[in-house]
Amino acid sequence: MTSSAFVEVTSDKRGIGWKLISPAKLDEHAIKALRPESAEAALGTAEFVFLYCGQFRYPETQVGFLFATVLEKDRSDDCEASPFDSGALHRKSTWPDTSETAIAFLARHTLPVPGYREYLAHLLHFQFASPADYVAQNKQPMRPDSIGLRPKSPAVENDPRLWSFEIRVRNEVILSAPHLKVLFYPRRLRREKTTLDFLVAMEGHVELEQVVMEDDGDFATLQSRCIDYLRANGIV
Amino acid sequence: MTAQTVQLHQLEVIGYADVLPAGKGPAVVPPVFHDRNDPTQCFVPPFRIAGNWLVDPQVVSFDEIKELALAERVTLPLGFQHPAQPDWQMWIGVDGAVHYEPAKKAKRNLQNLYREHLATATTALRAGKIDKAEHHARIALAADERALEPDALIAVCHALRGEQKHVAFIRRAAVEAGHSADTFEVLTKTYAEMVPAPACEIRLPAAAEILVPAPNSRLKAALMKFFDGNFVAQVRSSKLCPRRAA
Repeated sequence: MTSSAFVEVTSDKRGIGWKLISPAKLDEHAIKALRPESAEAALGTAEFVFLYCGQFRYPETQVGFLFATVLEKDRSDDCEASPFDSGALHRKSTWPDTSETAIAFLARHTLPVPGYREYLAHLLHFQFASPADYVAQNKQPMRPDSIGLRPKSPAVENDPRLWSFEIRVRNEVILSAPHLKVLFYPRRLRREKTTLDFLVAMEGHVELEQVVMEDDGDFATLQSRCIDYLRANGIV
Repeated sequence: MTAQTVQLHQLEVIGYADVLPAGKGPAVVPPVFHDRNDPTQCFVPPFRIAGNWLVDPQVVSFDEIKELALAERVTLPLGFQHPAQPDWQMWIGVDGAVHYEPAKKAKRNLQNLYREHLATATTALRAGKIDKAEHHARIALAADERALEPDALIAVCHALRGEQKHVAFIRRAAVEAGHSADTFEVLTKTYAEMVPAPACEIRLPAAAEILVPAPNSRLKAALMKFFDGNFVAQVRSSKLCPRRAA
């Protein structure tokens, strides 16, 4: 899996080490309350950690994680996929049968892991001018979405989250080899001592890619660096 | 919507795509733009700003922006509304205050913060207040993430606690970021010498030992070792010695 996790940096040192944990666990550990109106609560997905199979698409992303495909095999029993970001589904998009609930729509489009890859391969072949466009920053499908998802707001013409595959892993994802391969982090994050502790713990176990952000401070640089890495390593 | 450009003059800045409460700054942050011509839409990263244009932004509805703020994904400071300007930059102060000003002025202000906190860190280091020195060096690092001095000072603080892995990591990261290993070592040595240990024996790889004069000979030397060119430092001993009878 050439996925990147774009959950917040949820580093829980209690227990067995550094890991990404689900919104339900965050709530349980009193780290961050689960809001009843959140997409995770509304769709019943709060038990999962959310990863993208592809480029990250979330407007606020601090760190990029690149996971190995072996994660899908090792966690196939408590993993599921959908051909869109479930978070974007909730109140942000619409579909042909408006009487169908978001929960039912998500359930109907939930795929097994790693079996979803067959569908992904078809999508890359038929929907995009080039398969690499799937992760490119400024590309979009050249054909209408076969699922029929479209942004709810007429102001939004296209939302990449509606065609970016999401992998949901139950409860937690341990941040260690062989599952985690590369960690992309902005240099400024070392301002936090906890982050430095985390990076020191990761060093030697996973590849660390330091990113010096551009002056505008946005995550476009981080995003580009991740994609450059994938290209340089023949992953896309 | 992607692959589009929007003129900045039709936008206003209403917040930023990050969450930085007081004490987490300073940091340059990407603005969240609101479309004045179409109030239902906002623009969030990733995007580029080229002259008067916002290039390839991600478009989200105004309703979603409000949801993202509730979910603590973006920050919409109460009452903050400012016409978007070319060559302006947004940054958050140490106290969490939001600044949106000409990029040159923002850089100048951040450099002032950098100098101020590095100076405070250096003073604290000279006074032996290691935690305080590290705290201010980290703020200086956040104000100028390309600077090497705060990194070197932080490395010395870790070295004094015997956290060799941290020191080695900081050194490697500095070199990866394009800094010279030699400069890093000179700086760390300079900062190490500021620590009011009575005597610091510093060993350099295949080089002569340097003995830093002790301001107080009653204290036993705090031994700091620098070896293998990797600046792995460790305080080996720092104990009081009995006063000799006159």
